[in-house]
Amino acid sequence: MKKYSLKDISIKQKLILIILSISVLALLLACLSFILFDQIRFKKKMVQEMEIIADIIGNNCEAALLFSIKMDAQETISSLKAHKHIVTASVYDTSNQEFARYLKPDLNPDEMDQIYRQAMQKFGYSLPSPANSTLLPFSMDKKNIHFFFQGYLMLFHPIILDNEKIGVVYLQSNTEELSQRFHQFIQIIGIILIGTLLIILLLIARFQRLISGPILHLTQTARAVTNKKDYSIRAVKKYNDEIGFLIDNFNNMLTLIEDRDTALSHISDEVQKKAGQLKKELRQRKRVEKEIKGSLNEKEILLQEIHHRVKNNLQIISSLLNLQIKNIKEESTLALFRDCHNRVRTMALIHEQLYQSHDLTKIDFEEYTKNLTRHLFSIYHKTINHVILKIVIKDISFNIDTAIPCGLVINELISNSLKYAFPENRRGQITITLKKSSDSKTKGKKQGYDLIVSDNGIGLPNNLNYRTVESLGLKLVNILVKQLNGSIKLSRKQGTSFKITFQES
Amino acid sequence: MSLNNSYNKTAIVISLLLIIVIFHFPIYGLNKQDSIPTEYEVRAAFLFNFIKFVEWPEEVFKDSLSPIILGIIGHDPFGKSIDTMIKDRTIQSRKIIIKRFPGIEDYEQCHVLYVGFNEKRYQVAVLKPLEGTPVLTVGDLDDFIRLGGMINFIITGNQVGFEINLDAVEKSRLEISAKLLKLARLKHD
Repeated sequence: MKKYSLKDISIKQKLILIILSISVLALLLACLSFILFDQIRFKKKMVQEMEIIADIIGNNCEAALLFSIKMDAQETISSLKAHKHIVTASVYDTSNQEFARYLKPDLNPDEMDQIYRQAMQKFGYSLPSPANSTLLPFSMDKKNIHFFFQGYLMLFHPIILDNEKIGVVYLQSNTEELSQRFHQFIQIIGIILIGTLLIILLLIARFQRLISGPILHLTQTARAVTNKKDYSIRAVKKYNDEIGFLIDNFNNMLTLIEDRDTALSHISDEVQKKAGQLKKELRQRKRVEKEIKGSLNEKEILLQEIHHRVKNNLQIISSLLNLQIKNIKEESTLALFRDCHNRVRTMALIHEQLYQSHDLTKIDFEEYTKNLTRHLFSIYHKTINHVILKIVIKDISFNIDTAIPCGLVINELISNSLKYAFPENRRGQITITLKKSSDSKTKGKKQGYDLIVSDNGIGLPNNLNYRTVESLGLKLVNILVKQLNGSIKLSRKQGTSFKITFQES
Repeated sequence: MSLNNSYNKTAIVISLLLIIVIFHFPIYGLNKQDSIPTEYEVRAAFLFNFIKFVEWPEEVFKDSLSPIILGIIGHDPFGKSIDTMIKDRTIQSRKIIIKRFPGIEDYEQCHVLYVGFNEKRYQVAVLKPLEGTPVLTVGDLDDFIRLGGMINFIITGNQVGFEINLDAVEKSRLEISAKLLKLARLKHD
């Protein structure tokens, strides 16, 4: 269930409620303070009036007191029966003894006595015992004493003659007038309150429109905009107050929204047009790509085919040479043929690896080197027991232009090592190391490589200059290094070690 | 200690008596209000109170603070009690001075003249010359009013009362308050 709070009521009702409650509060405060003030003033007036009466009574009792003529005092005091509100009165002599007493007829003396006693007790005066209840409960000086107690005003007034206190007048008057006055005031205030509230309500009904009218109008406009989704509706500004500004801002906001909507719809049109164009373009491109892929595939197949055929042709040459080798008896000729056979085989191996691989441009040189050396070792009948081969190549691939000369260089150098470095079943190790050179001086942007082919065999003869040697193998190596745009260095420290530095072409 | 010593006994008794005497009078004086006043104490008080309700013509006083002179002619029945009573008291800011005139030849100007009950012999001699003068004459005699006195004490029942001679008061240019007149038995001479 929805709980209705004061905060949720409409602005119109809030305005009425606020103004009404403030008005009522202000009126009540004003009236109450007025009543309070009036009561205090009226009490003061009552006391003054009683003082005057007490003074007259005292004055008329002076002689009676001085000459102890109670009758006269009694007569004087009895004249108080003409006063509506005085209920009891007493005159006390110099010894504070009651001298004369008046009690309003049809009043119960015991009851009055009790009230008197209670009052005296309340205001802290020790009461005379019932035996001498006619004694004044306190000794007075020359000042009046008065109390308000249980609807009565009690006043003690000293009688002074020639600067001497010759007695005391006591008056007890009811304060009916005070309470009557209070009730009258309450009634009048009630009437004033109702009248004022009616006038205020009329005025509010008239003036609250100044505030709630424009707000209501704004609310209705906002609702209409929301319901109809029509941003061309505008609120009408009546006054130049804060609500007027609010309406202006609201209208400006609507204008902004409208403008933005128009701009957005333009943009959306353009975007749709562009999207159509892009789709068309994308279709075309896909088609072209498909065509290109097709042709690329065709070319790859063609290339593979070529490599296959080159390899096959080289294989045939190799086989022919092999057949020839079997018929040769002379050792030097056999060696020549075997070298040739090896060189052809080296190149065939490259083409074989190329057409077998995914990538038709790159040759994994680690795998290639392993295949090549395995073949060479088998050719020269060297078992793994005599010479250990160590290949240190990691993640290096070359294109065919680099791979062929590089492969041929390895072929020549390994062949030489196998042929000459380990005579008479000498044990040893051949190491092939290929690594990217870390030399920062590498010219250009191309990656440089260091190829080191070494053995710990008997080494080259001391008088042999590998650059001017007649041997076809080393000549070829020099030519191939030139072709690779590289340089070659020989180290004879431990066996033989060739270091070739080159760049991938 | 020897209580048998009669000298000592006498001394103690005298001391006790002295103490009683010394303390008796102030106590008596303090409790004067509580004790029943004697007839003459009442008369003295009345005499004093009469003055409060009487107005003299202005010319009889030198200034506003001049005392009121109360004369007592012949025998004084009040004794010291009246002196004690008026001591330090004023009426209309005037002090009261008591002058006692043992014989008529001692009479001097005063404002109030009291003629006691024993002074019947002076009545005529005193009252005749004072007729029409602003001197309040107070008496305690049967013929006092008839002979031209102004206020006379009387006994009604067991109470002290007084009578006032309106003619004499009128002649004397004194003014007696209605409050007093109200309480008095009014007479004409």
